[in-house]
Amino acid sequence: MAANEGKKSSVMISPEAFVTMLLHAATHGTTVVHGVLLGSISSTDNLIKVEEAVPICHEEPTKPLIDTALSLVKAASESAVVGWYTSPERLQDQQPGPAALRIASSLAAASSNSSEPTLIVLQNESMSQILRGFDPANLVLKALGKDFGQQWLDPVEVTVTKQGGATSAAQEAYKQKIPVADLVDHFEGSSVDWIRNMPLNKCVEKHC
Amino acid sequence: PHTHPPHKNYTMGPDEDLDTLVAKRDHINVLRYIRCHQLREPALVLEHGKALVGNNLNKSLSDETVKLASLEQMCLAALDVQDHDLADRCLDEISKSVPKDAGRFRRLLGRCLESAGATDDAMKIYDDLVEDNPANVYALKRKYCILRAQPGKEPEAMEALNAALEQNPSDTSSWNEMARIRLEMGDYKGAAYALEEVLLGSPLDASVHCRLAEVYATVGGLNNLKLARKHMAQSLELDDSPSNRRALFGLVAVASTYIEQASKASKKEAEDADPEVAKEILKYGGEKLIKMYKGTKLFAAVQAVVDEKVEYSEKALDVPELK
Repeated sequence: MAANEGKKSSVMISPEAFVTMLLHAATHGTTVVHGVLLGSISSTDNLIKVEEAVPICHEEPTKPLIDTALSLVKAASESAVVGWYTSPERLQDQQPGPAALRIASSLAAASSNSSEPTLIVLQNESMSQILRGFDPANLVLKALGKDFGQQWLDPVEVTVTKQGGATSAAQEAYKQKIPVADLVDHFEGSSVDWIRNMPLNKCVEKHC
Repeated sequence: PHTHPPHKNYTMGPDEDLDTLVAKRDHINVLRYIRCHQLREPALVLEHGKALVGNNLNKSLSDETVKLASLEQMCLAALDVQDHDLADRCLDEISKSVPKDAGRFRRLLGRCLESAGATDDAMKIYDDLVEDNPANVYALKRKYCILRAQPGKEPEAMEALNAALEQNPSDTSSWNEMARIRLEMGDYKGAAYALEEVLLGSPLDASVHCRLAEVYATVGGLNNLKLARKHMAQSLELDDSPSNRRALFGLVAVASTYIEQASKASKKEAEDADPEVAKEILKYGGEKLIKMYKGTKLFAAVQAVVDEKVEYSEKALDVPELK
């Protein structure tokens, strides 16, 4: 039993991760998108810090695809895997699909220190408003943790650091159509870096 | 620059590639290319369409059928970018030469109604078309699409797709869609079944073999992982170029998973297992990957992943059950 059992976990998202997730979803407006989250988990205060988001695919993922993605990301990065993000295909869908839920729970099972990864679900309607320059009525993303039924459906507190700057960066990147590639794009021959997107990170630096 | 995956299956369309046609401002052939290759490029269609028929859509062309086909294509592109005004104007222009009860016109009208959110009216048009002709697969598919777009209507959508498949049991695109919706629901066995049907229609398509392999590997179990190995290998035999690197990574992944499962298998299961073969496949795939990525940014990561998997397989196979 962890010493902090009972304390609700919370998630903090870096501006880079925020912008990457939004742009990945916006680039593929007609399909589901999935990606992995990297960062650190502090066991003392149950805080998950999401530093980077790495786009993986814009289709329903399969086990070999996810295995390959996680192996490559872990080999190419020093940060730990702290979660998964997804943006549903339909505009009005606000919950993660069965694949994302399964991935979250298998990440937890595979984690060496039994820490609980977070599942981020982008809210398409709000995201569409924010990218077009409007103030969304609701939150742009939801963070989910494990609930009593062992499913990743328990809402968890989430903040985006430098939210204002992150939002302007996302709006500018969207307007400028900065290309965002995922692993599947890489497979198909894209030369855009799917792990570290320098033009996107520069845009974030400018605003934050 | 257009980085579409190469379409190997088209049988007609302009010889030149899209970028050349765009640069030459060959509007008619840009539209033809996009239609033949079934690309989704609404902005391009609208730009070249307007250049062809004018912003008021009333430039007359020497070939009336070319004009009507272009207007139809522009109408659908307008729907894709939510320009309902332009879509309506396209419909109006088309109806000047085409009777309003023509099947093709009603189909286009149905699409416009769908896009505007008038799904009940659209459904009525499609229901009428199906009543006129129960084998109208287009209308059946649109009914499926309307249901698919609504959350919570998965059973009805599945029923509609099955109705379309009943009329046309060898329609590869419907089976593809079935595979997609099964994957979305997490029904990997159903997705594998659907992809096997797709494969019947396109047995030499490397990407279908790769997708099927991935789905079998997701269902899991030694038998399915063996099928996964087989289809990944088949995919690579059909296409071993860098554009099929997904299958190369896939081969390594499924061979590795096979070995993992085999090492945990019961004595009975282990009798039929051939983990040594899987190990050779893993090494083969790994070597090809390392060669492919030499000199690129990802080389170190790819090498690390391959080395790790090969090392794991050596250890995993050093197990009494498999001796």
